[in-house]
Amino acid sequence: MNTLICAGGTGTRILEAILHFCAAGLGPGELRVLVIDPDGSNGNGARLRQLLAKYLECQKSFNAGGAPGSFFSTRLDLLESEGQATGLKVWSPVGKSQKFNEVVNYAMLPKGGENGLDHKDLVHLLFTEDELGMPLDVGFRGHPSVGAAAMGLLSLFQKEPPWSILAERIRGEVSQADGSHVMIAGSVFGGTGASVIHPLARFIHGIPESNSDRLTIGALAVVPYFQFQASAAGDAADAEKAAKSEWFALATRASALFYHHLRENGDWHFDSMYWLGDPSLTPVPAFSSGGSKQENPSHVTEFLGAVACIDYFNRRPGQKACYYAGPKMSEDDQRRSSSAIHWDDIPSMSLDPAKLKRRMLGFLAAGAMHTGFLHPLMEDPRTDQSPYRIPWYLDRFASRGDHLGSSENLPKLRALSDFFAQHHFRWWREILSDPAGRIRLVNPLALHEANNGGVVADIYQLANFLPERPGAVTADKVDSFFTDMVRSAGTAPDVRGAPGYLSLLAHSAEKFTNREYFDQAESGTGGR
Amino acid sequence: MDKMFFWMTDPPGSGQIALSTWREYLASMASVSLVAVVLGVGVIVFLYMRSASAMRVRVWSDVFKTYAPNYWLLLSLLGFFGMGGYAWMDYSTLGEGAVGAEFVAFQIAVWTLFWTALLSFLIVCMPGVTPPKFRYRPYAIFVSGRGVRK
Repeated sequence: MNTLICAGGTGTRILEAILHFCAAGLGPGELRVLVIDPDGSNGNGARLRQLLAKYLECQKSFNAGGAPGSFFSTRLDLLESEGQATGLKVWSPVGKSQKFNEVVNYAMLPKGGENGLDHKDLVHLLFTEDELGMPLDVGFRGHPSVGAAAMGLLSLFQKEPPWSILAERIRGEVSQADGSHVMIAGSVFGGTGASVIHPLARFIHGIPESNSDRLTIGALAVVPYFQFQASAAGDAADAEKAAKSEWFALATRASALFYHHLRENGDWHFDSMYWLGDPSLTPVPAFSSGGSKQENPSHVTEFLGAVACIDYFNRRPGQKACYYAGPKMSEDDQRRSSSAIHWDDIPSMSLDPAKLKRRMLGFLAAGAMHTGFLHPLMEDPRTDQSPYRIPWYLDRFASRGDHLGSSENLPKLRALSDFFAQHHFRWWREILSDPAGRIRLVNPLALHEANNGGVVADIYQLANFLPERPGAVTADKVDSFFTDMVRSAGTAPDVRGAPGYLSLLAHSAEKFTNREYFDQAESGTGGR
Repeated sequence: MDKMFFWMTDPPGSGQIALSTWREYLASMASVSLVAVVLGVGVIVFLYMRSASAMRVRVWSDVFKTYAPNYWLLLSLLGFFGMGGYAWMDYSTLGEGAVGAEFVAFQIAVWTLFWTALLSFLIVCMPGVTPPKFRYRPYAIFVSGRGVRK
């Protein structure tokens, strides 16, 4: 069983990226997720909850959990227990109204201790007055020392959910041959991520009472990839106390030295460690020190972080090594000086970039066709009055009494449309909104804002989701996809109802993508 | 060949035309009708296939558009009028005893129309002639009740 623990805002956005991968059928069969974030109310956290809820709704509606490689197939373990609220678990080592001095119980520290040591003086040696008085309602504000001290108290919570549940499940998994595999993802230049990774790894390493060799621990350390101007905040006092992006490089250096120190001294609990970042430092448009207003847009670094996590779960390299990803030197002179990111630039040891590209493009095509053609078609009452007009619909559904336009099935189709329009397309649009236009994974012109706040995939660009494909913008590709659905009706797995619809859609999208994007690529006429 | 119009055993008008002349006439009409049917079916199927393969489903509402290729089957009527006219003219040259030309021509025209339309229809219903996306459209009238949500 695979467990992903995401720390802080960056970890939250990596989990968001992984959910999109899982929706596209690229995730592991099962995944346990947990978020550690003192600022659980932040905008990214709210967005993640909505995405997760929609993912689970789609999985349930289309009965998708279980068939490996199919859309929404990854089954999620949210560490739920009786008597507790359902949904994503977001744990914090500190209470919302606590200040740091309360976390370390500063007021109760003895004045004189062993050898005459004044514990309060020791605290002052490690932390400033501002840090001691810092409210922790919106996280550690770029002070990893504060967070690390708070995380050091993790063992006090080991008998409470979610840790008790996690520990019990890990102990059960290491008794099986497949073992248990944990990945901790977070930034090492901020507050929460930098605070969490090592203490958590140490804690998890101590969970198994036997068969500890069947427990592997990986870490994804994200180094700076964005920047912001604190002075852009309206509230000067808020900006004063917030993390500052000018500190990121220094914090990263300190983290790197720390982990180097751990390796040198044999205090290394990681089977694999991935380091990932982006020296371009994308500006974050709207600054906030935390809370619901802090919602950073998605970034390609988080996309690559998701690839790293899935890579780890697929392959679980156990050499206790660090893996780094950087720009690849291209043989193409035009690309040599470019920092553009294409599909074959994506670093991965187990996930074939061609398969990744095929799946993602197929999922985009499926989403575009569903939102722009199939869902509106099913909403029209004429469809169920004259199903013979749509051969695949008559053959696979209507003739058997399955009607996708029924009150039972239409909400499921709407949920799928919501997933694409409110989440998946939006996620891609944010990734592609790189100021330097470096991201060449998907054609940004194929995705645009809709009136209802969502993002629409232009259905006339079905065969043009890759950048640099002149001549492929045509409504005739909709006709091609429709024909693929008719042809797939006889070969796609024979499943009834809404699950059958998703199965047929996925099968047709694969057929369409293979023909439109990969046959052409093989003939050298375009596409990467 | 005259056996093709097997129901027209005797000339109309009770023997005013010689039986041999009547049979020669029927044989001639049968040959011409056969050619008309083959040509008619060929032209109709060609035009149908060209029209159907050019038809596209580009937006979801295109699914509800009238299936225009079916209209090419109406070209069978050309065979009706063409063959009917030719049969009438040729019958009229058989002499004063050739009565009931209109009814004779009508029967031959209906025969031509029937076979042209039927064969054209059967061919367009075959796989590979109608594009798969329009599979049921040529004979929609027979499947329009299937799978309808009550």
